[in-house]
Amino acid sequence: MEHFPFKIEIQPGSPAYEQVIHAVHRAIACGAMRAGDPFPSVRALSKSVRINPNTAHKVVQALIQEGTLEVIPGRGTRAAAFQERSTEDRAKLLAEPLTNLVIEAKRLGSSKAELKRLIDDSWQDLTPNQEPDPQDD
Amino acid sequence: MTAGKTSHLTKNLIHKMTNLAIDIQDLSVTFKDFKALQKLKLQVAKGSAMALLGQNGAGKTTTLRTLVNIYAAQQGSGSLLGFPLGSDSSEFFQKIGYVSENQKLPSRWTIAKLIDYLRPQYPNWDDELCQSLLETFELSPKYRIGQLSRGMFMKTALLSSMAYRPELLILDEPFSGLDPLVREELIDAILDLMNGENWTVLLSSHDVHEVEQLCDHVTILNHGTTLLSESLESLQTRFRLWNITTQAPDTVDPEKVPSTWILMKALSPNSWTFIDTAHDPAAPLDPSSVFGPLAGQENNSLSLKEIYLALAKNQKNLRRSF
Repeated sequence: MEHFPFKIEIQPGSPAYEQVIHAVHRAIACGAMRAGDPFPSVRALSKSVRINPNTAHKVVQALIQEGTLEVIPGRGTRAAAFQERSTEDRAKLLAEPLTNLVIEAKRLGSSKAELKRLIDDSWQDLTPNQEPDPQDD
Repeated sequence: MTAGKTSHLTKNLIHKMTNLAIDIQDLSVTFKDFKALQKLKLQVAKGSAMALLGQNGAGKTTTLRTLVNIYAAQQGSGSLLGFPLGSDSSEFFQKIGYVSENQKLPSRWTIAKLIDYLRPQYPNWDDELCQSLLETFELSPKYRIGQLSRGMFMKTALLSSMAYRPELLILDEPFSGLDPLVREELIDAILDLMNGENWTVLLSSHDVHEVEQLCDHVTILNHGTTLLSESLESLQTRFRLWNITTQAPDTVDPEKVPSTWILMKALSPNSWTFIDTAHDPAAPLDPSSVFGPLAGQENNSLSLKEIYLALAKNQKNLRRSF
């Protein structure tokens, strides 16, 4: 079996389709998948993740659509180069997940400092090489 | 009817015949005075995997058994793989694989004898595939059928229905009573064939999680009729669970609650939960039109199991209100 760039076992609770896309985003965030890395074929994805081939096809199409993957003629599907977005775009896209995070933190009684520390830790966990960000020192 | 109209209809029919493995309309089956199926409609596209979900008694097994001609349809029309409903031609049965949880196989036979018995009956019998399924399922041809465990028995039944490469595989509760490992092995074998050969699969199951992995279309039966039938993707797109917190208590205008919201419930005077069954990502909902100014809102996607349970609960509530 070919090398698989991300690990996922479909869990009950949310749509299989979303779980696979999330696993790919995670693999990219933590450096397990880099620009230019080959992405499994629909068939290999369906087999190894155990999802319907049509669902696997839709996952790949959605990842191509959003620019996470690209199709290179003759070389198959690969992880696309990182897309630079504007600060405003990022703020817009992060607004909802951030609001939910802050609501949850407040509900659980976290302080602002604690939440910031937890974000730092999580950022570190998902950063390849584990080298501390020089700006942090 | 004019000649022009006829030819248009014929064209439509041919178009449907080429894309649909199953196309059944108005199927009714009655046992004595129990209406098991009432004007059921079922369409399954070639190459797709359709799950039949529904409570006990909803008509899943009856539907499958009528399709493979174990039960006769009192009413209904349509076709399976181009054969008319109720066909008893041997070509029809050579193209259909049927496995049910209550399958009977001769218990004194070995698996080898079963295979030798089936092989000459199917022109498309594939010894290579049969061999590879024996290996995948870790079945020895020497095993006696009567001595197989439940899991090995189901694998044998599946093998005996897959080795002749049917175009349509019909499975009635294939996972019931099986341990998680065997379920996974069955899922792998079925996915393998769908990947390589573009088989069509129709299965009934209570194991909604397995269904969510294996299938790309879902039909939910309710009291012998089709409650819904659509792709898993569209179903999971249009169902969203909302949690709303309003700024002031009791601001909801019941008149404005759309009929597409189900299971709406107040958790407190200013917080609400409901399921929107008509979510459109291109035109997201603005709940403030119903709830007034909001203090907070969130919406989440639902697993197939949650959608299925929500629909079942909603049906129950609807029945109560009549």
